[in-house]
Amino acid sequence: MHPAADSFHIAKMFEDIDDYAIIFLDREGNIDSWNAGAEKIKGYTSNEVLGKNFRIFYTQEDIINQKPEKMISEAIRNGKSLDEGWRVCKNGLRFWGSIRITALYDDHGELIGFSKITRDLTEKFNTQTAIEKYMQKLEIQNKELEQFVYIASHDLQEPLLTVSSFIDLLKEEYSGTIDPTGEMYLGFIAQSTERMRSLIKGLLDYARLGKKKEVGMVDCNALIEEVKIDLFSVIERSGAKIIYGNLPVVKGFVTELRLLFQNLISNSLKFSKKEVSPVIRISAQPMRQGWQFSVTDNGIGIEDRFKERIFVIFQRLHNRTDYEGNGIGLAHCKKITELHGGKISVESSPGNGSSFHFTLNLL
Amino acid sequence: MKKYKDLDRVLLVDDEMSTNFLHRKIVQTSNIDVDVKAISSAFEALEYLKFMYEGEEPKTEIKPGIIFLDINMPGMNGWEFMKEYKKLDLYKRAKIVVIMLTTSLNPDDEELAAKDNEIVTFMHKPLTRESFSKIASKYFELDSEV
Repeated sequence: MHPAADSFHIAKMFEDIDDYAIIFLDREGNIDSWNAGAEKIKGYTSNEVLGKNFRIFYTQEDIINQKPEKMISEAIRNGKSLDEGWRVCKNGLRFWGSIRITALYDDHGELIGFSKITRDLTEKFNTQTAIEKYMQKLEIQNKELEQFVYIASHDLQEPLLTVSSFIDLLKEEYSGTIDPTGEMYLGFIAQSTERMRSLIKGLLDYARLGKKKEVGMVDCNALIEEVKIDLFSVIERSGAKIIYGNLPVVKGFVTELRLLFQNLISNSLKFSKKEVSPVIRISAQPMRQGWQFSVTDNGIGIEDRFKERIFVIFQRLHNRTDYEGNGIGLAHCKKITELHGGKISVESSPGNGSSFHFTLNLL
Repeated sequence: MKKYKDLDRVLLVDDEMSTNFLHRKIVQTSNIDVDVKAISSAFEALEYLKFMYEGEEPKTEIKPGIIFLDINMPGMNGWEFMKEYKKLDLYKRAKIVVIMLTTSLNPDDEELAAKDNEIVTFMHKPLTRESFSKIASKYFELDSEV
């Protein structure tokens, strides 16, 4: 033991400690000593409290239930008594404390009193409560979203379907009496209706991402091969090359990861330069935790000021006549990477292709 | 014009008048000889079916061979209708094919339908002449063709 660790220095040390209340009680539980921590946590100065019984720190309910007596008996029986609960300060306010009462004996084995160490855990308690409240709020919001999604899939679709069906009927039964302009009007109506259906479906799909939580080990190389098969005709037509190698096996949601790669590759194929065959490179780098993937193409590129907007659902950068689509793909990609504890971003400039970087970090 | 055995009437159950109108047209122009009855609520449809089979003597009312049932109806919806429908005596359901029609893009609905063995098929709206013809030929025997 350190030469300075004599009773004088130890006592001094206890006195000075101010984040733990370290006090000594006599056999009846009356307060024999006080330290800086006790004053800080419980509010009393030593003058105000010496000689008083430690019962004063307990709440009314605890006193009625004889908690102080029970703790003392346990300390005598088992050597120590531990508790976490509400205690009361000088000003009547409560704090959440962690308490340790230890029975003390003299050389003859006679009980001489108790040591009592108290720590203020109110902050930990408040954080815990705040977390629980927040989780409840999230649960409610989630349920609301599920409801909304269900409503979207039914109630919004029905009127649209009615519009489409009656346009068809109109065309069928009144084609003789409708002139080309009228036919064009009907065409616009039908087109808009179809677009609305498509947008609603996109919204529904977005909300449902990650709902069926099928986590597994996913071989990204095999995944790319599957995507290449799905996009076969586009790849053939454009003479595209998709280059990748040594991609890792990662933990993740199989269906969603396939959608992620498919959307990025499909975009690279779509937004390619005219007369230039798309070349798409996919690579992965290990990070301290997880992987960073890059999907790089030689396409038309994206202006810097749109770097964030493109990930917002339904946001498009081009006319429908130039490039088709509803602006859903990248919003899905963002949600999927976030589902995997990661982030997605793009590096690009007009005319110089784009590099999409995303991290997958599912533990 | 085809006529199928035991397919004398199609019962349409949908709260939207426009949908019943459309589907009635589809069935009547499908080149299949069959009567069409449309009911605009699940509750009324149940009452109609109960009435059809009450009492001893055979009714003059034509029995439906197919029921096209909308899922999304106010008050009692398609699922609730099926619950009540199953409580009717078995023989009443003997030769009726129930098909659930929906605009739902929600795969969960399809799963629910797959689990319910009373629902023979789950189909997306709108009903078309081709899909109706397919159903008729799949579940019923051809009686005559003119």
